[in-house]
Amino acid sequence: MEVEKDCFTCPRQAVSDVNGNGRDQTVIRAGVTVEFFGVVRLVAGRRRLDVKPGSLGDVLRQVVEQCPTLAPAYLTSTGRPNQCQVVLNGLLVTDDLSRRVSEGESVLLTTLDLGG
Amino acid sequence: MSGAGEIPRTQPNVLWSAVPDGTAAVQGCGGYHGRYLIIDLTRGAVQVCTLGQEELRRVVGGAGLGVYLLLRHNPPDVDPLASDSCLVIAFSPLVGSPFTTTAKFAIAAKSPLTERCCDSLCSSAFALAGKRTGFDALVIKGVADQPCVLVVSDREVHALAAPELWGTTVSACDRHLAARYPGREWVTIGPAGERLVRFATIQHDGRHAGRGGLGAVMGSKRLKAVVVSGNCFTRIAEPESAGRLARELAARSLGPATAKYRLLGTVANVAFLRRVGALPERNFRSAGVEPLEHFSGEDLLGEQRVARKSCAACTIGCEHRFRTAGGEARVEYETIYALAAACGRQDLDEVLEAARLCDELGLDTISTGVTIGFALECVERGWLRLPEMAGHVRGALPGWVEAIGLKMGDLGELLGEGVRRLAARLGPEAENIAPHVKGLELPGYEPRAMPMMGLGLAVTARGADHNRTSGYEVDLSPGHDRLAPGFEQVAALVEQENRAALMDSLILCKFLRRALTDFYADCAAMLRTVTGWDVTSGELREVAERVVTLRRLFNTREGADCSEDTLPDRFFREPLSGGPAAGAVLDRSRFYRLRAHYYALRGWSPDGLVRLDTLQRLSLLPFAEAVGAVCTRAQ
Ligand code: SF4
Repeated sequence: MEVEKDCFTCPRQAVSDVNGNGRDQTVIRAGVTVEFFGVVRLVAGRRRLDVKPGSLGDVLRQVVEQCPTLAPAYLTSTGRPNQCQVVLNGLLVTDDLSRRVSEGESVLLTTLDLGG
Repeated sequence: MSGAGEIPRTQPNVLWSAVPDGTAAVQGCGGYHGRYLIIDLTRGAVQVCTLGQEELRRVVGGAGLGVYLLLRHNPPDVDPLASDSCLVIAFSPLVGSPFTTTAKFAIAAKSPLTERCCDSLCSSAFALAGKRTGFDALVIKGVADQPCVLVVSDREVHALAAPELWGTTVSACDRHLAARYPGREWVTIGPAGERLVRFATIQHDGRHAGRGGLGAVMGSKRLKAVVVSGNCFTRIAEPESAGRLARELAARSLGPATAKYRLLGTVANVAFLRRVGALPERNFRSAGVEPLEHFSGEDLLGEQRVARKSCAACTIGCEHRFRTAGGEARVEYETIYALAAACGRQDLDEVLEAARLCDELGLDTISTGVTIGFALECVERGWLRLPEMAGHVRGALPGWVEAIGLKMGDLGELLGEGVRRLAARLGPEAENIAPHVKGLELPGYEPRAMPMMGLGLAVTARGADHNRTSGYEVDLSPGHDRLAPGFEQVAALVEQENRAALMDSLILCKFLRRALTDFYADCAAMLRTVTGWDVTSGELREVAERVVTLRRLFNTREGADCSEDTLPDRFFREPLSGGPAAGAVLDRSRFYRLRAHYYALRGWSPDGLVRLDTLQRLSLLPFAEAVGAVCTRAQ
């Protein structure tokens, strides 16, 4: 069965923009790097974003401010994860919003559905 | 590729035909016919057997029913490729119901790759048409005296000689059957199944029952295809409630919980798993180091995707198809892991073409790629002499795949046996790095970076099996040290495995699981509205445990013991080099402590045998005794 349309559509053009020419490059050079994966990348419309250090809650608040399309499906408007997986430095899976995220650290965001 | 051309139209040549003797269908519940059909290809005979409500309720359908019938009909110790070996095709109560993602069927047999229990799922219209034959399962045994097609309808069963189909690729065979059997559905094997490649698949409409080599079992019976049709519909006990529930579930299936599958497919895993150091590379020599971003779903979507497809009766539609040199291919995360990462290949076109060839020849992409990756390391180390694999020749991958699928030359003969048999020929050093569990090649989750996935792969009955364990859900849950899990995570692993067993028995697509708000209650509600049974969450938890236990009983009857529930030596000896999990290595004593806890939670003895009290608790003791699967040492 061919599927024509999706009711949760991400336009193909947006995809090539996200993956394409680097227009979404670093906003603030020194800081915490947030990397987006999978559908979160498509919805955020960017591959990565640099934000200021702080608690994980602060970091995610900055993410949702700069990528408002992530709310409400993946982050709440105050930056709480919702259907969203948070990994620090590629290793630590966490939902502890009080955890300090320092300069040079990275926060990975993707959806919860890991199956494949 | 040989055998890929059009087939001349010939008059069908009937080898034998039989009319199944009618027996009363199950009374008083919906969703089932209450009978299954045994088809003996040697004798050209069929036999109808009944299934009572009580036994159906214990195993539900799909994988549960498949393994139950396998235990009953497959003789112990039989060679999986021998005449007596059985191939079970099992449907389920939800097939044909209004619930999304339920057009699925299970195929079960003793695996020629592992010589252990193997149940593999496949999707789409074959499930709907197969169930309309009026049987809840087909048990196929014996060997035809020449290549044939088996045609099963609600009135008659016959076998047709099909020499013109033998040797055809999957798509050529599909075209021929479409012309000959309009309006019917079928499963087929490709040349790999005919040539008994130990990881050959069974295919329907581009979807494959992929793991464990069930295509070789079909090939050993000289059975090229099974065609099904009929008009026997099962009743839905509470149609209005079922319809309401189905609409709610369909709506949830279109939300963010399944967006990954709709928008990107499972290739969405590539970039993320690579970034968390869990995508194995070059025969598990590294993880998260190689430049593989260009294989990510996010990047492929913008460049190569040509279509998105869906199984019948599915609102999600996760199949993303990509352009290749020879046409187009279905590409999943495991495809990229096995054919690109595990083989150390960087060329996108080469990998996509290899994926297309796997589907055409009827090869499991995971086993194919992992076996090639293993062979490449053995060639590099000088343990294996295959000149065509030396020096990483650019563009060579499709040729290797073709050699395996057609069993051509030394490469095809050796690699077509899978990793375990190849390693056994090469000696203990090769065996230490051979990536398999129980003979099944490892899927794309690095056990040193995902130790709970590693434990899950070690203990599941089918071998290294990501679809039956979902241990990655546990590894990537918050609140614990991912590289040093504890007993709490083992309990979570058992729960994931139970849920998978239930979904595989109902059958519901696993990609729907996040759309279920209360897993067991939602499953119970679906089953209740279809069957009319007063089924509860607790009962379904027990069904799930029972299905896992049945698989274990099968393996024990075949001589399996706890020594098989482990991982390749490499993971305990070589720390990961590079990537986010650099330095990670499995601690052997921790692994065995966690495994012992897993056995205890399952109600198995310290050496992994199902205890008698567990059999009693799961109401399996009389059945296990009847099929010779009770181990008296299991106290
Ligand atoms: S989600 Fe994918 S695999 Fe599952 S039923 Fe739908 S199309 Fe088939």
